[in-house]
Amino acid sequence: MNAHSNASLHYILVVDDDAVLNDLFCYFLQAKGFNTCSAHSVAAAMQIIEAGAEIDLIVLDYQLTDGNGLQLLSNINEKELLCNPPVIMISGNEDTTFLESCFASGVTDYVIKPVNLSLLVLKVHTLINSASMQRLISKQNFELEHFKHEAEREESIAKFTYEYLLRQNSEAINGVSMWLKSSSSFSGDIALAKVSPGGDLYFLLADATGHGLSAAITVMPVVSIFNSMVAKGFHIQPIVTEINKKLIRDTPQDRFVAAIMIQMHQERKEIDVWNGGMPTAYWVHRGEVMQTFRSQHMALGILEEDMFDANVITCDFPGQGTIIAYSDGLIEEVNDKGESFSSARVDELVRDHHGNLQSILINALRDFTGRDQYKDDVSICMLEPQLIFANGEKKLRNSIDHGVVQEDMSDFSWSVKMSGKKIAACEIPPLCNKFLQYLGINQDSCQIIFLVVSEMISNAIDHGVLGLDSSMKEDEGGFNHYFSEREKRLSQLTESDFIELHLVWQGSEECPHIEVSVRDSGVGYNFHGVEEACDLAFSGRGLRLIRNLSKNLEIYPPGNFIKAIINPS
Amino acid sequence: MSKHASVVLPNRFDYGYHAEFQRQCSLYIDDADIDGIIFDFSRVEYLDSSALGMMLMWQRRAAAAHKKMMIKGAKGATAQILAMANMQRIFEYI
Repeated sequence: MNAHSNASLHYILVVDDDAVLNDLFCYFLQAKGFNTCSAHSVAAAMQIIEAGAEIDLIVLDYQLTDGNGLQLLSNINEKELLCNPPVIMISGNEDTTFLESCFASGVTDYVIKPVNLSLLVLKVHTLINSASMQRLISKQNFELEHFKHEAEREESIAKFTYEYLLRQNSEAINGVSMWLKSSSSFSGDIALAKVSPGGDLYFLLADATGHGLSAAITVMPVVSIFNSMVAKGFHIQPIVTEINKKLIRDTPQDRFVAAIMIQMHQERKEIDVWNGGMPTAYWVHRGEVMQTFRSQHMALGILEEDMFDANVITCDFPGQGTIIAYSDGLIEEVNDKGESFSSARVDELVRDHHGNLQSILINALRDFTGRDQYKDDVSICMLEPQLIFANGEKKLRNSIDHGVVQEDMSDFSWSVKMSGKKIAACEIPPLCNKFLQYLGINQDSCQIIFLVVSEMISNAIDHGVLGLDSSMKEDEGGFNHYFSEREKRLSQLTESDFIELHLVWQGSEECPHIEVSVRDSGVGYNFHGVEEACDLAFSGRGLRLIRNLSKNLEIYPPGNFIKAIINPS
Repeated sequence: MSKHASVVLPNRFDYGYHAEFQRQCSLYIDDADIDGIIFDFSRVEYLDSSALGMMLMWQRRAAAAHKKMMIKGAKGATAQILAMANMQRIFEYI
């Protein structure tokens, strides 16, 4: 630090009863850029100090009219004033004992009379420098202490959040074994498993960037979206899409989450895996690697929605063997020789060993490092479908008994009627879908009901209310002609035109079902014959889909009232 | 070397998507370097018969231009609906 440059920021109190010398010191120090003030007695000096003047240094003559310099110092010490500047004592006494007593009383430096002014100024500079250094250091120490305290507090919030998330969201499932060794602080690994209402097993192992609070915050939306969408029976493709969207929107750009998500379909005997940035997972059966699931995607929270790829790897999965997934903490852990555990070692262990692969990997890591505390979070998870599905089959049977929909779902009905120009503007199928999702109907059923409602409503609008003939679509360019005619007729609707949707859920009956019916104000439409057309014709497809998806379909004369019965999937 | 282009379909695939669908399909059909078009269903949750109609219409045009169309990533109810409409008869699943 260059004291010359900011000398004028410093105040020096000159205490000397000799007015001439006092003026001389002040004059000289001012010439060097310091601010000064003078006192000619102990009492006057005390007055200045007690008034709270910010003094950076005192130049103190020993012999004063109303006492001596050491008395002034002991007065200052007694009063425990905040201001405790360094002191340069000026005296003609060179006696060693005297000097020692001065230093013992808190004098910092000493100048012998007759005073060499240049030497005085040098000492002033040095002392002021070291005093401001001292102040800086104690300020920084204070801040450091403060930050350390803050960090510990954040760490405990992170740990709390993490434990809370786990408590709230993780299900203990037989056959799902999750081993997670946290490093001293929370470093962002989280593993969750959950069974959907349809009986599928969902598993998530995620590793967020950073550690502590920032990792916990990034992990939070991942966990809550996973949990709520699995509960509604969504497939993992929309789940990863939604998590990615949320992370892009709500977390800082440099925060992302590597994750592997697995969905085991117990009925279809299939497994879907989405791996974004996690180490390769294995499916092993009787000591043989049946399939590897390597990372095919960027981690979640990196790619904008239009670049994001939700496609999964799907393979037949008879529900045997073991699936093993781990976080990169395992392969990056280093031993004394500086070697990392490495994915090659994992691969070798998985291929060459029979038995419980999770314990094999855990023991291998401990033997390799000679420790059981690791630098990063290390997670090793094992899924054993035979145990899971022994458990899951019970769940599935339960859900069939109750029609997949929640047990406590009582019968309900829901109707909506639209008339006039509102028919064109209102989107009834999404509205209906929101309602069904709100009730907690599983996603597959929502999708099917959505399709049926969409087809019925669009038929009711196009062929009923608007009286359009779908054979128009068959012509060359017919599609576009059809839709422009549709626009025209929509704009001419009157209050007497209407469509009406009615949903009825009957869950208490022997075979729970939902009844969807749509009525319109049209003159009726001849649906027969339309359906006979082949699959790949442009029209009539909607009606055939409805028929295929429903248990029973009826169209009442004159053809403006249609009713379908659907069993939830 | 065959080169494929992907059309990533939206969450709700219905007539509301037709302008964008038409834009991408015609772009790839007109592009001599591309000999296959993949419909990526990984994000689709809701579709209706007009979506199927659009696919069939563009499949005819693609076939006329000697280009292949493929379906990828359809799961759950979406896969069920595509199967019911017999889409596997003219679209290859990858």
